Amino acid sequence: MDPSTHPGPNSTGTGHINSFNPINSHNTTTNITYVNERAKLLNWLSPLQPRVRHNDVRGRREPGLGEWFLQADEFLRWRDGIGGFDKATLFGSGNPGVGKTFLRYDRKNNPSEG
Amino acid sequence: MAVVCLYCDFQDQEKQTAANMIGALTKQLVNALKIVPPEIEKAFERAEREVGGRGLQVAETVKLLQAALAPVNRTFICIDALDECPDKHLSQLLTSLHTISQASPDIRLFITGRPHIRSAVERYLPAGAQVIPISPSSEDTKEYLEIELGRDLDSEAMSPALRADILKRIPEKIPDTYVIAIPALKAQRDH
Repeated sequence: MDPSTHPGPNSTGTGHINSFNPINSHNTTTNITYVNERAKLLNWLSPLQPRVRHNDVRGRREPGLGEWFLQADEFLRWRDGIGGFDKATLFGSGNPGVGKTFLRYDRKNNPSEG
Repeated sequence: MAVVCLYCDFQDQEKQTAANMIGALTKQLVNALKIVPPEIEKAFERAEREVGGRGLQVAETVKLLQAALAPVNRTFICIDALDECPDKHLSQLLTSLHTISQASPDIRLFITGRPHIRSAVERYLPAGAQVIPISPSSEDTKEYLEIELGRDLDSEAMSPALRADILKRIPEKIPDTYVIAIPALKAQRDH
């Protein structure tokens, strides 16, 4: 059997992950298995939960704080690679308490997102 | 486009190994994708079959992250408080990010940390980094003060003159006093 055409044993329901319709609304049992398998896989990738911290930070942010950062040349050059800007890394340097954690990437102001 | 993040934390050093941190980036990407990339699916199934469920090695997590990055046209990886990452994991984390960045030039890394960690960033990411000093702008500080003053329950203790004085003087002394002034103000207010 060529493994590339058979990504997973269908008996576990994981084969659905490779279909174009991952949630099979006609088959509840498959859905539950699928969700559990996916949760197990995600936890296997890492036990860390950065999204929990992220949502906490987001909830404590005051709107408008850190606007200067999103307009800074350093930020824009890095984000858009303007003028052959070749550095992939932007390092925000600052002492504790200056607000590094609370800077954020603003999707609304990103022109590359349609 | 995808934005994934990591928050390094002194308090979580035991769990924040390089493998777990790289894995956490992969996890966020996979979570956002409708379809789990086949390489990741297969690696997971292999690991499941092994007795005791073997943990991931750093080199494997790098490959899995690359598999998760492939379907996304542009990914921003944000790592907060890199100085809180334990030394023993720092070099592995940055070396892995360098490998990934070399293979996918479209990736953008945003790292924050105290100034002293800059040398490590430049050592392990030899392509170099654009540095941006972060300090609250006086607008930020004013806005923050307004918010805090607005939350003041004991309005009798505040006179318009004192309020104006606070809003004028504190932003002028930024950034040095910022860290000290805010908690000090709060403490004073609470008495």
